[in-house]
Amino acid sequence: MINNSRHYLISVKLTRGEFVMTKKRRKRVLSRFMIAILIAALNMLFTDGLFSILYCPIALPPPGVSPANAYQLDGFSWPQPTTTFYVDIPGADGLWNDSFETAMYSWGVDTIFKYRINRDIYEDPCDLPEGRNGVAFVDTACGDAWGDSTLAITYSYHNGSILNQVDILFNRNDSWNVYSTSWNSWPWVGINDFQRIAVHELGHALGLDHEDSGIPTIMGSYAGDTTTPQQDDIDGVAAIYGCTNFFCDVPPGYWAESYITAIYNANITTGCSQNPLKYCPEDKVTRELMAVFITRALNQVPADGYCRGISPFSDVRFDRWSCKYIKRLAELGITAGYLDGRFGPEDPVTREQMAAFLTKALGAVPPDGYCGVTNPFIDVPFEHWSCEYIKKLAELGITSGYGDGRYGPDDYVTRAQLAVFLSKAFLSPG
Amino acid sequence: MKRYSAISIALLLMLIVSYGEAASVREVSIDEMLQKSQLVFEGTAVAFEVRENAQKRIHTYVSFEIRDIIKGEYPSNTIKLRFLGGTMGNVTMTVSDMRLPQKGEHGIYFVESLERSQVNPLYGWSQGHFVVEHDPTGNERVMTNNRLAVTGVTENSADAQMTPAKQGMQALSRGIARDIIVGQEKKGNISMTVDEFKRVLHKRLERIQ
Repeated sequence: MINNSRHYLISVKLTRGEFVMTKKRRKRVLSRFMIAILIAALNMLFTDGLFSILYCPIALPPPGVSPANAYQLDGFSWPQPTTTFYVDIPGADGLWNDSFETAMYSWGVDTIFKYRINRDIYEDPCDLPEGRNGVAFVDTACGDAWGDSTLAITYSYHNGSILNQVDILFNRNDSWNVYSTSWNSWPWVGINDFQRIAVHELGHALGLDHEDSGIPTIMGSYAGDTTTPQQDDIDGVAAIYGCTNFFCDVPPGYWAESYITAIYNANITTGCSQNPLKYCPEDKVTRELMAVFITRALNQVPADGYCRGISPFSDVRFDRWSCKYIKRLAELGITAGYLDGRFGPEDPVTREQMAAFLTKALGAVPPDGYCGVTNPFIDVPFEHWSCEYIKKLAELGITSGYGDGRYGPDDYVTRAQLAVFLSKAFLSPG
Repeated sequence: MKRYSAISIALLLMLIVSYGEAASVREVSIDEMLQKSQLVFEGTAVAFEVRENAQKRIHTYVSFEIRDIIKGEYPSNTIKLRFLGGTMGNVTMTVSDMRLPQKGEHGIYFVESLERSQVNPLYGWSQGHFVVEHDPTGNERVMTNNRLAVTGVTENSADAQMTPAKQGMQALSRGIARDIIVGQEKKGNISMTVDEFKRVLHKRLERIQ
């Protein structure tokens, strides 16, 4: 049974309006309700946080290694990143049409895939497959009974891996409306959110499969309160159809775009993900990743097995993926690790450490006392250990700080900043 | 007094706020599956046949050899179930969320209706579809359709435990029926044996019938 009205919530309000409320009483009830919402929200926040700790430990991928994408692909796709749906779903003053159109649009916001719409033209999804995508509420799934638990399905017709037609069917015998609050929560208990399921089914319609690893996705069969495509879904679409930018996560005009492209072309980086190709410009740089980048920039990458069973630092085992780079970096005199014999491979690199590494890599280490009694930046005192490296880096034209007189010596280096540092240090302009 | 009212409203909100899932199949409980399935059997998928009807809808017919009937009656020791979707020549028709049994698959299947032709004949789709696998010692262990170890079934019915407010709610399927306890690891040797699982099903059947 379709809740065939946009006025469902209003009718609830009217029912509640049978109570006569004075202004004072209304105010009191409202304030109690607000407190209640706050308590409930805190509860949800807490349980969500607890859930994350218990079941969803976030493991950072090894630096330089592609972060695990969780999206699953159906194995078929449209020949072009677009397809057209014929959308004419009667009832509810156009609510279903509007919602389906919104669901279609949501896939095109951050992906190259664009759903096109032929609005108000009905295409029977149960017709013979003829290459036109339809959507409808139906009593049976084109002759097959829905069964007791089925709400909606997507039929995909494909030749090999190429999609020809997709039809989306909603079970007319169930209760539907459109809402963006928690699934099945008051006042929508027992009522399905049409738009959320439309977004999910449209994800299937472009080639995405279910994804149940626990990260936010609209394609999960257990997707929480997600109502729109999430980053992993966007990555999934990019993996099938590509993306508009060379690096999917480096938009045109991004402040470090040319530097990132430059170090990619110079084989200093291969990106943080291959499919789709991403750079992760805002991620922090770890010390082992920096070892990789600098040895590549210096064309000093050693062969596999370079550590030959010997660990160069107490916290860098010989069989660690980055051992060869770190060992080489130490041999080149660019690092000696920490005073306690550790290298701290997973520690993030600060901007002052970066200055030291780069000047050493360039063979431009300044003498002690190089800063004299002058602060090169307002946040870099002349007596600070890293002052000479930072001053040298500025003199070499590799940094000019943040542009407001600060250098940010304790700030962590992002991958975008690293691209700028490396380009300016090792690649000739142009 | 005011504080108690606010807390009670908050408790009510907590009860009725749930996490939604974006899928097309409703979550069901093991008791609901047992109650509403016409036939529950242990069997092996032995043959597959794909046919196209006059409307060009493709169906896959899966024949099972029945080893044991847990609920219902069936006059033969083989049964043919029809699933929507399949490959006919160059054309494949795929139905989202549909997980067909594989050839040679040994499992426990909850058949919703023996009369109606449904999109998916199994109750709750993947929820009514369990797979039996051998552990390294040769014991037959029960897994969910997506190969998670079934380590137990909650003692009390999830339906009975639900408040009236929650009974009115229908979460969507995550592929596992509500009362089924699964191990996070996909290891057979931590899951229930077929006999243990069937014993639990029989016990639940006695209680609900």
